Amino acid sequence: MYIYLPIAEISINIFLILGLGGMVGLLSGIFGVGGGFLMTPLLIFLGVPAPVAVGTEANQIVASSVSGVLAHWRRGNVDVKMGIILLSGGIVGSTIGVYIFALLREIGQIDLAIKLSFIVFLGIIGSLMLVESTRTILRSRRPGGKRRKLHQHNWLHGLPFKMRFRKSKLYISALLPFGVGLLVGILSAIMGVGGGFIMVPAMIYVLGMPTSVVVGTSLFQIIFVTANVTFLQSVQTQTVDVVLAGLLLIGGVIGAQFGTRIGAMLRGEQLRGLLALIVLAVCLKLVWDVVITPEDIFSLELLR
Amino acid sequence: MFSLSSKSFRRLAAIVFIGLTANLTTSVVAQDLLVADLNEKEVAITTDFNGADLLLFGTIDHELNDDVIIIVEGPPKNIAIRQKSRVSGIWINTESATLDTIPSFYQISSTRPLNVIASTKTLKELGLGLDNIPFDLIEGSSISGDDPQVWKAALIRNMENEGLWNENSDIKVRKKILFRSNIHLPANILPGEYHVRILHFRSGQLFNETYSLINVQKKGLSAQIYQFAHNYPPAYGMFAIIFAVFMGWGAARVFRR
Repeated sequence: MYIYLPIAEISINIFLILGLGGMVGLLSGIFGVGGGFLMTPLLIFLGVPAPVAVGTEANQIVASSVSGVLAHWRRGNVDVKMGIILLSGGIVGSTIGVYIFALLREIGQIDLAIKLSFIVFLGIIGSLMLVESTRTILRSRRPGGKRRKLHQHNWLHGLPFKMRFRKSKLYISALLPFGVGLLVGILSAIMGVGGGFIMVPAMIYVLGMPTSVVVGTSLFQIIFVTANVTFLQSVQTQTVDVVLAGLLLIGGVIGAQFGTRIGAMLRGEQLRGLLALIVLAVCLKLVWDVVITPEDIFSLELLR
Repeated sequence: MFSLSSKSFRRLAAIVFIGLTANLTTSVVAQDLLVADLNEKEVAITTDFNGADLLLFGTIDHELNDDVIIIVEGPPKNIAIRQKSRVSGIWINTESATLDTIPSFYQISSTRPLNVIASTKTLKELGLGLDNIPFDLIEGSSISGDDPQVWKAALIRNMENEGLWNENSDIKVRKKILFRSNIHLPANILPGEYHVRILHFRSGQLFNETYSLINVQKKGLSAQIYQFAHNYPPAYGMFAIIFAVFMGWGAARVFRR
């Protein structure tokens, strides 16, 4: 059964979209990431124009994050204060990102910019997470191992505007989460992702937040940042396809509900190790894409 | 003179056929009887649209060296064409050119291959065939280095792969009078006016022609969403957000039980 997408202006199999939404939603629920880092490239592979994939993904992530955050909210796993600082940085960053996106699109380099951003960030984060989680798993198997400190102290903790975040058991400069939010916001807009796959490790390793509140807080701030991207892309480029977003999120929210339950059964370091492997697999696929000789070195774009 | 010659019988049959067919676009020149019509002239892009197949049929006075050529041309657009090259191991768009008003859809069907029907010169003069689609750059755009022919070939190849351009010799003529041709409009066509030209060639020369028009329009919910998004972008953005929040919240409630 085919459905015509009004903004993407293509016809696509409805079950393919629902299935894709469900699969990515499952992963999103397990790991607490928006799933955009998988969904955006997959949509482009299906023939959805890259700008529409990015704009629509932002809209869909709003819905999947709302759905996902409620379970964490009930368990008290959302640090609202931290979330608000993160999202204020995120809104500034994503606004900048949407403008950079429009600029790159104009000079015809947006596809490459999207792929290279994915390669760099997925590569770095995937490797770091894999190394860290492997170490933790090995250490936990050795009895009587040295207990890790809550977090390391370095120059970042000397920054001004210190704030107390009770839920995260932290006393750090507000500039730190604001800066993290800003950077992730820029990437979020350019890559059509919620940014959870960058935000989650950044919260653990840079901010030093306890793993238990990381996923809920990340989802909480992603809602607002992706809502901002949805709005700006609608106004600037008219690339938000609500029909496509609706289908993806029907599949996505169902998948995410099961994912959240599976995620609760796994241990933190196993979860991070598994996510690291998925992240690295996507990264390698993208490296392959930009390195091998393309089937046709010419490509077309119909200009409106 | 009471026996009908086979030729005049054919003409009589054609006249009867005309009488049965409504909405005819005719242009009768000299001895010829070129009549054509489409089974549909309105194509609606609705929510379940997945391309459309139209049937074009008509009559001609078909003689030994006669041919029919049918050209369907979609709304013209500017097209950016980009060339990748390898820069330190990575394939990057390094060259780009913008083409002026290229048909976004072009299907040319004929009874025999075009180069058999008419001379290269005639085909070029009349602009028939994928090779003869005008290849003009917009002002300020240029192709540096490469041969423009390489770029033109790339344009044709890519448009063919998208299913938007097509050249075939699938027209069948029955009983030397009736011809029919399928027009396949793929799912990725743009809305707008599609001009249909039906050409009658005799001994390699254009003998007669007639026209028709297909109107492709977005209709129903998909058209309304498109209009909303393009006419009221901020309102559409707000709607998209509220819709997403509501859907996400609703889904979580359904699954809470």
